[in-house]
Amino acid sequence: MEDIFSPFREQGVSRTLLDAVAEFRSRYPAKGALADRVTKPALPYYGRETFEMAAAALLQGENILLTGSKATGKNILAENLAYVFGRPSYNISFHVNMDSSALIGADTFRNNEVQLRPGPVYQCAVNGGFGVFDEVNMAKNDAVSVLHATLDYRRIIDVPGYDKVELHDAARFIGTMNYGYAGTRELNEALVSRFLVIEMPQADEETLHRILTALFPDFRRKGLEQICGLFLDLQLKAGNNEISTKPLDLRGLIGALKTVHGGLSPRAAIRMGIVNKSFDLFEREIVEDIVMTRIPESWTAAELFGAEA
Amino acid sequence: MRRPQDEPVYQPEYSDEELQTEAENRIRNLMWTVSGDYTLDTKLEAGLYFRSKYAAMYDAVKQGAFARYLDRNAFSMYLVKKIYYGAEERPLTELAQLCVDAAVFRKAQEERPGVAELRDRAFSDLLDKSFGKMSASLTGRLKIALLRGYLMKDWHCERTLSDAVERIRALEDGADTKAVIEAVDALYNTLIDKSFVRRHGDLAHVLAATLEDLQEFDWRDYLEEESVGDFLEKYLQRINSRVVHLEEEQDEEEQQKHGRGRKVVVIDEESAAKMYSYMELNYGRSYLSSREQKNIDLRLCRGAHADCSLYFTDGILANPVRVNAQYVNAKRHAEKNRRFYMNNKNMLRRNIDLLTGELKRSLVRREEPEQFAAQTGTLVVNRLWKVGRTEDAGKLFEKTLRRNGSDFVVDILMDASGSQRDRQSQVALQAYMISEALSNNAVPHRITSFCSFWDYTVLQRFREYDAPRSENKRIFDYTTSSNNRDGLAVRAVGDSLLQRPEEGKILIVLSDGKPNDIIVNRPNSRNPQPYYGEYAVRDTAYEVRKLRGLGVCVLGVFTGKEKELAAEKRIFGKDFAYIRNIENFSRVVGRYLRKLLEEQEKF
Repeated sequence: MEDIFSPFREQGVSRTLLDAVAEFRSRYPAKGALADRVTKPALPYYGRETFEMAAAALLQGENILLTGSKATGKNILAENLAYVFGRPSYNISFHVNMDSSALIGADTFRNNEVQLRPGPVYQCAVNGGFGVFDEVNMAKNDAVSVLHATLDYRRIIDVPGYDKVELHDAARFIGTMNYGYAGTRELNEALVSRFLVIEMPQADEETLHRILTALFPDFRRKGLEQICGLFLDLQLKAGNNEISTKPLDLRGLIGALKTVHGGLSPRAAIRMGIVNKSFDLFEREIVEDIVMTRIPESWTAAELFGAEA
Repeated sequence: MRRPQDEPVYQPEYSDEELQTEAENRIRNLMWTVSGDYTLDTKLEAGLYFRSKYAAMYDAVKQGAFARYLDRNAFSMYLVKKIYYGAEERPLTELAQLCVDAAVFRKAQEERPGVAELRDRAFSDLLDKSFGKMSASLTGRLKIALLRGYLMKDWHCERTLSDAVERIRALEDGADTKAVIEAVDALYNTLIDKSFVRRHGDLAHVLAATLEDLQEFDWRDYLEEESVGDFLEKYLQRINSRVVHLEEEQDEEEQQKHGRGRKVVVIDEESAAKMYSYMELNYGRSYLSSREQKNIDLRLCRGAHADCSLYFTDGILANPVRVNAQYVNAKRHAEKNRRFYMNNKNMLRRNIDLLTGELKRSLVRREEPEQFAAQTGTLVVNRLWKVGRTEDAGKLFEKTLRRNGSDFVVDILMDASGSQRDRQSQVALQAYMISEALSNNAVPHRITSFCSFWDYTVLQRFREYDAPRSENKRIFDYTTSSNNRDGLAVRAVGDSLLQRPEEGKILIVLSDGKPNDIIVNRPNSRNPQPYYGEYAVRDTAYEVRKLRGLGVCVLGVFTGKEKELAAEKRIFGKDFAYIRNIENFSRVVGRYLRKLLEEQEKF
């Protein structure tokens, strides 16, 4: 079997912690249909300290809230945690129109009777999964308040009109949130107090190098430097509030790089993946200027990928 | 019947002024990107951008690279010293440009390979557009030789220049600041003024000039704008921005005739100490403790507003120190405002109803829940007959979708500078109408007025966001005086607006003229620039854009003179309304709010 801990051991994550995670895995093995829900993330998470904090908290039965600006790897970390703990993951994207029935479940008509159709939180709780509350601050506070008893020491879900359900011992919840998106709001204190909060560090050059070389092993050094530099330039500019975080898009960058890998010119690819993410004319110019200093128009795919000359 | 020109005018398309601001912003950002230092504050010439885009952009890159790879201060200090000893500014800065370009280009290009393409474009643009102008002077011809050399790799040129070209090209291999200074000095002494060393001394002698010598020198003749404060510092800044400016200088003689620092009034320590109690006497006690006050000043009074203070008050009527002339005066104005209100009560009631109704309709439309049949949700009992009687019972449940129940908050910031005086009753009345209409719809809103007195920017609060309706009438305490420092007021109000939990944040600024603040300064402190003209407009525009960047919708409503319209448009850009008559204020605001409420994706 493939060693799922190896990327973390390489990063120097504490042995005792990894052993404890291994012990958790053997105590709660995912069986049958649930095993299909244990998915391997596209990328390992890079960041020893953050990973250690998160794993330690989860081992102690706590729920965690990952906060940070865009492109800090919140979802990657959440996926990685579910994977190394060997638990099925349930991804629940929060939105403004979220209500309790979307979380816990609602009535439906089946076999000639009204039954509860369990929502994702309910399933996660019963199956002992890892529930990922994506953008937890997008939902209204009153919609989320039904989760209070689920998230604290009571570990129950009380479904109105049905029985109360106790949480499986292995069930954990991981919230992610981003301040600064339009439409996000402050989380209320009652909810925050039910999480341990981890602030995600911004990607630095080393992490970017690692991520990109893991995805594209034939990345050439010079091109890699410029691509990472471009991303860090954008990050710095967004940090100084000169541009929004829309063009600061690691997913978009990776998508663009894939098209370069397929032969597209780097400039055109970056325009799709980064520049055009911003819909403000002036902001787009500023972003384009950064790209212009980093990636010459004359560059072709061969400048980024291939054997070192 | 209203005349058509009384209709408020929206300005959705980009005006020249806005394009200018955005161009400035663009090239400044490019400079920041390359230097990596976002505190760098060098003035870049946006005018060039419209003549030659690439040249302006390359200038910005070069300015950034100059700051990153060389010691800017040492270099411009050398230039200033050289000029102090009698060197001619124009040829010297032109030589400096060429040397700096040679010295930083290779390094910049190594870090950012795209720079080379930009440089080629900028150079060929310059050759195209200013060849004639350049060939008129020796330094210009040297520049042509270099540009052609870089572009076409053709290094033939007139014999007098070939040594100079060699000397400059020698800087390309990682020259440090010292080497660049030496090269500039040598070039100046051989090409421009062969007798310089004999008359004034060599490089070592020039560099030995002390700061005191320089400070005593009268730099004012060298400064183009009306400048005040530390002339030497100003001049250093100017030299700094000149060093990278490749295009031929425009004739500036006519610009130089502007006057000298007449806008700063320096007062002594003693009166500075009394200032705060004067403020209390004039504007009423502050509602912040001195510690809170200090914190806010520290956080907000930075950059262009360093050395200023904010003064938060509920007004002299609410919190007077004692009954003095200002109190009596304020009372008189308040009574006048109230009388005006009583006389217009009927008209007012009608307008408030109208405004309330309009807002209510938009709000209801927004919040109307949508119900649709679904497979899950709340059971609809009277559909149950279908079960067992039909093949497929269909959707027996109902789901409710709340379209957009998100809430919003409005902040109204009104200019209370002296120029509003003759219409202050009307302004108060209009604000009252808006306030009542918002209260009727239970929308939290705050009303603040601002004016600047000495180095304090006074923010008088008339009602807090969640204040009860009875507080609305306090707007009739509105009185006007002194100057306006719009940038700081917008920043301060925006700061507390951003802390509100509501998602939709709206700021409405009523302004009647360009920002204008004469600073009274304490001695021994660095005199900030007087806040007026281009500088103040740019600063306020920047604050407005920063708030917009953070998701606040900012509407500027302007009631002043037509000749200031251009500057105001530049400040507010896209959401801007010009009203000739203050009676349109509430209508414009109502229309703007409705527009925002009905744009679904906005909040």
